[in-house]
Amino acid sequence: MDSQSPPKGSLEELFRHHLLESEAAAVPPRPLVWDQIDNSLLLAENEKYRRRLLVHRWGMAASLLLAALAGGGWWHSQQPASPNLASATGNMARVEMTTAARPTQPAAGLVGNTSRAAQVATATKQLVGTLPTSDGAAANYAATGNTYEQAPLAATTLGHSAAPTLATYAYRATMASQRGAGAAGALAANTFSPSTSQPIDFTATSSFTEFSGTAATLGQPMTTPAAMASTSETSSSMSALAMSRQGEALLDGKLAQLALGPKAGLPATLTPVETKLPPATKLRQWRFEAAYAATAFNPNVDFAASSSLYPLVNTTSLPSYAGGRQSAAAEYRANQRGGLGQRLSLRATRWLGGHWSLSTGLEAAQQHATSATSMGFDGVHLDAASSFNSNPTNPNLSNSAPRSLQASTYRYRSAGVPIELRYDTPTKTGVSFYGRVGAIVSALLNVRTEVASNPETARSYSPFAGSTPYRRLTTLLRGGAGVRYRPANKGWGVSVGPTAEAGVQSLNSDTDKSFLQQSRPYSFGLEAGFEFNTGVVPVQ
Amino acid sequence: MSSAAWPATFGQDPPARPTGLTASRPVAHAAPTEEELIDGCLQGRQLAQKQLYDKYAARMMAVCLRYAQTTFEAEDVLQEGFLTVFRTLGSFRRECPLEFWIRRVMINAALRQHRRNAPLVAVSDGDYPETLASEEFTFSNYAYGELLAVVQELAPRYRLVFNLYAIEGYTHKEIGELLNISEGTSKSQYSRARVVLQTKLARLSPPARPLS
Repeated sequence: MDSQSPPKGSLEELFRHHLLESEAAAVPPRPLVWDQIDNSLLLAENEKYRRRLLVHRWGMAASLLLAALAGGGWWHSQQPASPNLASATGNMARVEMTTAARPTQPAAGLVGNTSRAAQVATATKQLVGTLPTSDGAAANYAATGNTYEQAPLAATTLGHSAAPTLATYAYRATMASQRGAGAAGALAANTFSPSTSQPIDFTATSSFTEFSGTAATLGQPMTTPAAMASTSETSSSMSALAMSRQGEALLDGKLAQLALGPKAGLPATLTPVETKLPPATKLRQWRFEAAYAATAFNPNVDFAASSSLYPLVNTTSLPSYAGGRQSAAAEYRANQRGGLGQRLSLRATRWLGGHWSLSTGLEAAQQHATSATSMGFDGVHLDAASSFNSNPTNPNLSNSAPRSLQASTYRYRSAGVPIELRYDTPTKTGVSFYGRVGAIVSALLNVRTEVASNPETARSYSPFAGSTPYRRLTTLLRGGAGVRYRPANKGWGVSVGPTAEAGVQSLNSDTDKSFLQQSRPYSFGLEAGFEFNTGVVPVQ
Repeated sequence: MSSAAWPATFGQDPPARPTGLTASRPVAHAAPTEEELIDGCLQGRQLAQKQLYDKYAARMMAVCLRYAQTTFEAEDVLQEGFLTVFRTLGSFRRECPLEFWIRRVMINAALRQHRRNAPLVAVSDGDYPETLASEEFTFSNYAYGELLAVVQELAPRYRLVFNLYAIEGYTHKEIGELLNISEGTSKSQYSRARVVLQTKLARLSPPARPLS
């Protein structure tokens, strides 16, 4: 290029030359820009800490719930089994589990005595009469090769009491006879022990003691299941065979006595005792509940980075002035406060088995929240510029003076369908614990917004009827735990306990944030319920 | 965007740029390196964020001014761009100069701003000829401020296409993808922007203006 002639070029080269060359010496932006960036970064940092705190709170709540459930389960396991529960919910599962835990081959020689054990079971079954479930258990005991040595242990382990009549026989036979003669009595008593509901603890204890003595006499001390198992595994087949024959002889004598039964005439040492068995019951399959919850609700709405409508205004979006919208959203969020949430639920609960139930129903909820804004409102536009005192896009708003904060209130009404899995002890009377988790599909039916200083802006609308910044349908997760009280012989109960709820998604519908980064509504509170059609009913 | 089109001056500090906002804030004794600035920002240190802002704010403001219609709008874009920079700095892979990456962030912020405002802005082509013959311009006859004003007066879509193609070096295909328009539309809009600019430059009277 000639130094005498000035540089020339095309249109593109001209602009590129000037615009790019001048970048290095460009005028920096006003200090206000950094202040706003700094403020936004601070808000973002606070939001990060707030979310972290929320995670910690959720973790703590989940831990408390878990601890409550574990504590309730442990407490329940420490309680003696309810007679009704034993008869209605089929505690035979526990019987079978205990039986299955026993060594199935206590001694090789005893396996062949299945028929003898079955005879014992049959004979005693005739004595007891109509107790099919327990009889089946006794028969199973014999048929599966669990010989008579195990029966007292199993019955004692189960913690159930003996049939009064047989128990009395066994007790008196035990007391009347000497060591060795008590084995059959103990067998008779303990074999049928799960079949009854009246606790006669001394029978089991004395029988077990007697049986232990007998077993010791037979050369196979068995004081504990573990000892029995280890002894069974190590005993030789010959000694087991000899022992079984001695046991057979012993049983034959006692079976002769037992076979007489109450009808055929009792031995001189036994006298009949009148007993009355309680009627069999079963658990109601369906129960119903009306519940009310009062919670602290936080909508946790974040309109930042969102193009949604500002909730205060019906058909007016924020100005295109991005800083104004961001600041309006940040101000809205910073001043956002939770309010009272109330929920009324009607639930039907179906018993699934054991401690588990599934419930569903209908519920209506109403929540309040508040916020505050310094944005002016001229009836058409939300004056975001008043916070900055400048607005290049709308000169009419540019000279607005900064305004003071104006409180705004929000009320949300919704209806939903919950589905919850519940853990409790439906047959238990008195105080018990419950825990439940579930999900709710909720429809936002009505929203009411109001600016305290400007009643004209108050409006109530249905999100389904027009545009709304909120989600019309939301899904929430809910958990709760608490205590439940059901009086004896009554079909109703009450429950109370903490409950927590969180949205799966944000309350505002149009968010630019990813699923994991969304701000979700949540609430904590207490829920009280009244149950009816609960408990057990007699079996016809 | 092809890297060959990127000016070699990017990534270099201006020799005598006014420190501006740093005067009222405590600054480290030795100027931190780019790596230190990035690490400091990733750790959330306010001082590092401020230093990074001071280092690139003026240059990015010049970029934003080209894409915006007014200074206020440019500051809005700058603010949103820097917020994006600080929030997404962790995704910067340090394979290119930081300034290159920040510039792209700013351009994206300008595009977002354009999308938000597009429905609100009425576009009028004005009274310009369909085509004009290529002309050679003497650089010294025009000042930076004049050229910037001419660019800012363009309709938003023309301004975007012209900046992206003529200044940043994007291809029409890339511009089409960025603006969600066809490659042909990008070409025609660029051609139209070129005519408008050429006409406006011709209306300026070179003898009456002081040489820059």
